[in-house]
Amino acid sequence: MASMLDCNKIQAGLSEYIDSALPEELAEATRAHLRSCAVCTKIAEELTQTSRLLAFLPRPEPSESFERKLTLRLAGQALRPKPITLGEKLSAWWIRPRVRPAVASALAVAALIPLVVVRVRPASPVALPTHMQTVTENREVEQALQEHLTAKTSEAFGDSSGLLLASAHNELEPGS
Amino acid sequence: MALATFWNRGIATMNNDTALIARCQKADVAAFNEIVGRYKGKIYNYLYRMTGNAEDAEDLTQEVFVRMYSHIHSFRAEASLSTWLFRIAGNLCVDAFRRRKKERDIVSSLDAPIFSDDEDSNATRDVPDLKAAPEILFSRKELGGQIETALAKLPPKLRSAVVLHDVEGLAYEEIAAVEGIPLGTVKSRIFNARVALREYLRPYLES
Repeated sequence: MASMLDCNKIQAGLSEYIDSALPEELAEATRAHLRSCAVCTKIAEELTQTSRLLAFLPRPEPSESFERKLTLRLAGQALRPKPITLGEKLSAWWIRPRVRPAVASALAVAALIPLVVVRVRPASPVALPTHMQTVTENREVEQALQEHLTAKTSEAFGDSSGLLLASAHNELEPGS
Repeated sequence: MALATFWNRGIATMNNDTALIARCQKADVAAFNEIVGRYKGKIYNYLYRMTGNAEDAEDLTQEVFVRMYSHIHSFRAEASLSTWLFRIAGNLCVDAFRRRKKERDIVSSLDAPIFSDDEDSNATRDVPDLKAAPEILFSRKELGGQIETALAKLPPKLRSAVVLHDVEGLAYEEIAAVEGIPLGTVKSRIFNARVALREYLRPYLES
């Protein structure tokens, strides 16, 4: 004989059991319990019958004038279409026949522009000094430096004009 | 096999409904009429069981489709069309019961309540003594009358759950969506409704 506790638990799940809505493990436990408990078996049978009885209820239909009345109630009221979202607009635009080839072409052109610009652009005219220019510039710098040094030294000996030093310098450089 | 057939039929209905809703949302009145034709019987039957009155049931059914007509443009396929329509019907029922209760309170405070929103309330209505005339129980029509009377004795919340499940064939999950309640509450309401009905209909069950 099943215990009272078992019966309470089982009866709480009987409605789901008759609807085949119990998990298999619980359904199996319920089946096992019902095999040994006459009280719960009777309750299960009565609940099953009660549920089936509702199928005996007649299914009344609305009156024949139902649609006509409804049409009258809705007269003058338009069926509102669903508002079109931006996504739907874009989607509708996208599926138009010429849109996709046009967009593909535009993207291809856009992708090619940087390549074309890089290729066509001329090499930057960086003017490297020639060897002769370098030599000439170096000589000029050397000459200016020499003049500067001469002037400074003359000042130190009181020869403000630098004539003495210049002459001395000329004497030291017989080839000049 | 039968389950698979039932499942496939359900999927096919949903697909058809989806197509009809899409057409309605493009202001196709023919699609709306098709939905009315498809669901008016189910909704009317549910409302008839809830109100116990053909006239009220028809008015409320009309109101369900008027509301659907007005709001179909904003319907999102988060719920099935069937669930949505039953939810509208259920909400209208609750409003109707509240109105009735107010009217009843105004007219007379002496009558015992027939309709109540309170699941635990002891709503009462005179039920014929089934044992008094057992031969009547063998008449299918009369049996239907006894079941209707027994159903009317149930609190509306229990009645709604058991009608949606045992009469309209909605699954527990669908009822939870219609009523906006947890699955466990649906199960307990159906269980309590069946236990109460079993008591009311015991004479027939015993015979």
